[in-house]
Amino acid sequence: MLNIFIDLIPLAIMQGLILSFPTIGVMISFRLFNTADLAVEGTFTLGAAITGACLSLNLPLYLVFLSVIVGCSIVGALNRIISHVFKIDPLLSGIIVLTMLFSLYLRIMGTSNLPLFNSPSIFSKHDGEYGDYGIAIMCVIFTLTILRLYLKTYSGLVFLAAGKNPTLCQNYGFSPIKFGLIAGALASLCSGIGGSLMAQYQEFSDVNMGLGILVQALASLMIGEVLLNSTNLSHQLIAPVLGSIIYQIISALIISIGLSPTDLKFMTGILVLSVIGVRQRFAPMKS
Amino acid sequence: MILLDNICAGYSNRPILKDINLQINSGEFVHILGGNGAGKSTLFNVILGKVLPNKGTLLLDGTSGLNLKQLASKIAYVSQNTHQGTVPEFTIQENMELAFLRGQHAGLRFRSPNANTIKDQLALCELGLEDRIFTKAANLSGGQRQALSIIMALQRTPKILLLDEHTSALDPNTAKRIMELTNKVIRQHHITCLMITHNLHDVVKYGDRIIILKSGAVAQQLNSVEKSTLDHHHLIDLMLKVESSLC
Repeated sequence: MLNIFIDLIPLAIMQGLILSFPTIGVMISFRLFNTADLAVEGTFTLGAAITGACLSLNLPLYLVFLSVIVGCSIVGALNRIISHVFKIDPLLSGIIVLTMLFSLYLRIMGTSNLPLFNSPSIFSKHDGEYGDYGIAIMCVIFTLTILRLYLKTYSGLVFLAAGKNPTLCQNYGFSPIKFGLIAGALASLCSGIGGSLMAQYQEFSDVNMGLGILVQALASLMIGEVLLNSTNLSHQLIAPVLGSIIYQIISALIISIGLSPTDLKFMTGILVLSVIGVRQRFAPMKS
Repeated sequence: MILLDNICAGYSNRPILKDINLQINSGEFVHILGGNGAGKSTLFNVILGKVLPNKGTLLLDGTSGLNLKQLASKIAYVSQNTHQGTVPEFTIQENMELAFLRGQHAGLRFRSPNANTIKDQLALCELGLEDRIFTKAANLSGGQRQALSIIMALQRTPKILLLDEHTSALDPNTAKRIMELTNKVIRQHHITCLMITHNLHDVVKYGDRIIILKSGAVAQQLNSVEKSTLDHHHLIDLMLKVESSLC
C-alpha cells in the first residue's frame, strides 16, 4: 500500500498543480468576490475543448492559450450578464450556462472525446528544458503574480471592495456590475487555463473531464485555507495551490488503500464535509 | 445647491414622494424629520440617483442626469449601518485609499498610499484611528467604524453630504463626538448637508433649517430664524402637531 502511495505522489503533485487553476477560479469568485459561480466548472471543460480543437488544427500554442483565455473569459462574463439582465441568482445563471456549455463542447470538439497524442503541447515542447513540473509551476507562478499585481492596483482595490461591499462601491461611483463581470471573466479564464493544461498533459479532451471539478476545487480551497489559517491576501492566493496539491495527495492515499477510483467522488464529499467541520471547530469562518 | 422641482418617486407601483419642491442652498445644513414611511430615505435615494423620479426635475449644482461617477464626485453618503460605510475586510488604510478614489477612475495604476496624509485625516476624529491604520475595519468598535466611514465620506471634500441617522447606532458619548466632528467639517468646507435624524437634541443644537416630511410630502419647513427660537420641547410639540394634523 505504501509503495503504491509513494508511486502516486508525483502524479498527485502534477495534477494538484494543474487543478490549482480551477481552484484559483473558485477562490476569485467565492472568496474575493463573494459569489457562487458554477461557470468555473463549465469553463474547465471549455478550456480543454478549445485546446483540443485548436491543437487538432495545428495552431501554435500561443494561439491555443489566447483562444482559451478569450473564450472562457467571455463565458464567465456572460454568466454574470445573464444573472444581471434576468435578475437571477448567479448560482442559477451558472447552472443554465453550465447546461448550455455541454452542447458547446460537442460543437467545438465535434466529438465527445478528442485524442491529442500526436499534437504538440506546452509539456512536449518544453519538456527537455524544464520538465512537466517546471512548466506547471511556472504557469501557476505566472498566473498568481499577474493576479497579485492586479490586486495591488487601484482597480484591484475597487474589485475587492465591490465583492465585499457593493453598496459602498456604488456610492463611491464604481459599478459593482462591471467588477462582477471582471470577477466572472477572471475566475473562468483561470479555470479554462487549468482545463487546457489538463488536456495537454493527459493528451486528450473529454466532455466529461470537468465533472465534479467545482466541489473538488472547493475542497482544495478549504484545505489550503485551513492549513494557512490566515486572511492575508497573499496567503489567500497561495491557499488554492497548496490545497489542491494536498487534496490530490489525499486522493492518492484513498486509491492506495484499495478504494476504487469511482469512489473518489463520494470521498470528495466526505472530505469537503470533514474540512468544513475542522474549519468550524478550529477556525472562525471568514466573513 | 440641491433643487427638487415637483418630484414624484417610488418603488414599482408604490408612490412614496408626492410633488416634492425643495431648494437646499450651498453650504446649508438641513435636518429632514418625519415618522417611519414619511419618505426620508426615498428622498435620499432620489438625490443619490438610486431611485429615478417618475415626475419632476432634480438639479444638483444646476445640472441633471448625472452618471454614477459624476454623482459620486459631488455626493457623499453615510448610513446608520456601521458596516455599510466601510469594507470590513479592508484595513483602515485600504478603506481610506478606496475613499480617495470616490468619483475617480480606478485605473491599473499601482497603489501608492501616503500614510502620513491618511493619519492626519484620521486624527481629525480624535478616536485614535491614526495609530491603527493596519487594523481591519471589522475589528473596530461601532463608533470607530462610523467615524471612519464619515472620514471616508469627507475625502475629496464632497459638495453634498447625506447623513441617514448616522449616529443612531452609537453610544451617547461617541454619537456626540461624531456629531461635533461632522458639524465642524461641514462648516469648515462649506458642505451642503442633509441629515435624517430622530435625535431632536441634535436638531436643536446643529443645523440651519428643518424640513418635516409626512406621507411623502413636505408638511412643514422651518427657516433658520424659526429654528433658532425652538427648543427640544417645542420641537416635540411641533412634530406631534404635524403628525396629527395631516392624519
